[in-house]
Amino acid sequence: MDEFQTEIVGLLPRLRRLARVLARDMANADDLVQAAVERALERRGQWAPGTRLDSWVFRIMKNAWIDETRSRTRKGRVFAAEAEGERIADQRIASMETRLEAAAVERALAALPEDQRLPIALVLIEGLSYKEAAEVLELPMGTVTSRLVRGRMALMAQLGGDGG
Amino acid sequence: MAVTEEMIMAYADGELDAAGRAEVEAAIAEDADIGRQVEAHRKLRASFAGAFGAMLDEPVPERLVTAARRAPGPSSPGVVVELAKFRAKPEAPAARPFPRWAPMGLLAATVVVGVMMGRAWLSAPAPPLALGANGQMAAQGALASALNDQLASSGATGVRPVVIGVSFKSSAGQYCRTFQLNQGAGLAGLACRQAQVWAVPLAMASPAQAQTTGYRTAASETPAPVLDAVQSLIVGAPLDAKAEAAAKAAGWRP
Repeated sequence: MDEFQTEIVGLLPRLRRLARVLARDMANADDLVQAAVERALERRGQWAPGTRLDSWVFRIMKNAWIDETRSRTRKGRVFAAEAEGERIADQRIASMETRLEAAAVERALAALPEDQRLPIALVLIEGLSYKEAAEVLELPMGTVTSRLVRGRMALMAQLGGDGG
Repeated sequence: MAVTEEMIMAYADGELDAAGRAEVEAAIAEDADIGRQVEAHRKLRASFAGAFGAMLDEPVPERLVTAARRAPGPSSPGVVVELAKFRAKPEAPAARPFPRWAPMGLLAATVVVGVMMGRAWLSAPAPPLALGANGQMAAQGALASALNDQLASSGATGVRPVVIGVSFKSSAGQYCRTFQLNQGAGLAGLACRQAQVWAVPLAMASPAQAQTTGYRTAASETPAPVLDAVQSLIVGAPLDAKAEAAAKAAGWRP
């Protein structure tokens, strides 16, 4: 065990959270996290110390997800419908009202097209700046910003915000 | 010129430079609806923080931790190789130091044992820790005796071989105690009483104390990772002198 691995272990909860935004069901999400962690360990020599390790692993996970979805498409597999209740927000959230609101936010995010989900998750959940999100996504800033705007307008409309 | 939706969003996220901010603020002054859009963006961000924050507290599946802790490649420092060899002993297959419910902080902390302990403590003539058959570190020798017998609140002064910091009850219903071992290179950690042994989920190199200043190890002398582990496990307040003596009298059985 070394410091690099210690930091990866520390990132696992955040990696799982982001993977769930992509993979929709928990078993697939954890498979994705595992694939990303294994790739990160194989390629650890490519990480530049002093840069954000979280962003670097997020990028690896994004690419692992793209590879995974491509191979699924090739094999003609389709996503199983997500199990009812599996994505209901954490039961430990205190009040019922808060829990319902959290579940609504999760559902609204899950309903977005995939190219909007990940930028939204990186900025609104993981707190990355637009520039950092663009680096993870390996896309131009302008593309990320316009996906963010479209996604957020849809979310605000869905969640009854008054901004859309 | 009307500000774009991108600019309104970027303003709400604090992404604009001074000129951009001025432009949006001027627009807000003219059109209250733009101000409401900024608020809606901020409200959305807050609701995401609330909805997804709790996910971080969920226990991480064992297989993911195992994947991340897989034996490192050849570029790793020697001390890690040393511990990996130790782990590979036949009586300790597939080290699985924590049950599934173990809090994340403690899981991460276990790794500290691996990194920091190194050769010195494992090959010392009378090592304070032993790796049990279940892959878990346990106290032995003088450390185990001190954990059994020494009261944190005993008020003894001077340098003692083992100093007990705090005693407390964990969320798993066990008695746990922090310790500082003032022998060799020094070792600080956390021990929790199990049926037969004091399991040591966390131990790290910590310089021996030149002198103790009085009654109990001040919190500031306990390494931060140990304090973090205490915070993640403790239920209620640390035991006071009376509760500690009672726990000792009961053999540290809850």
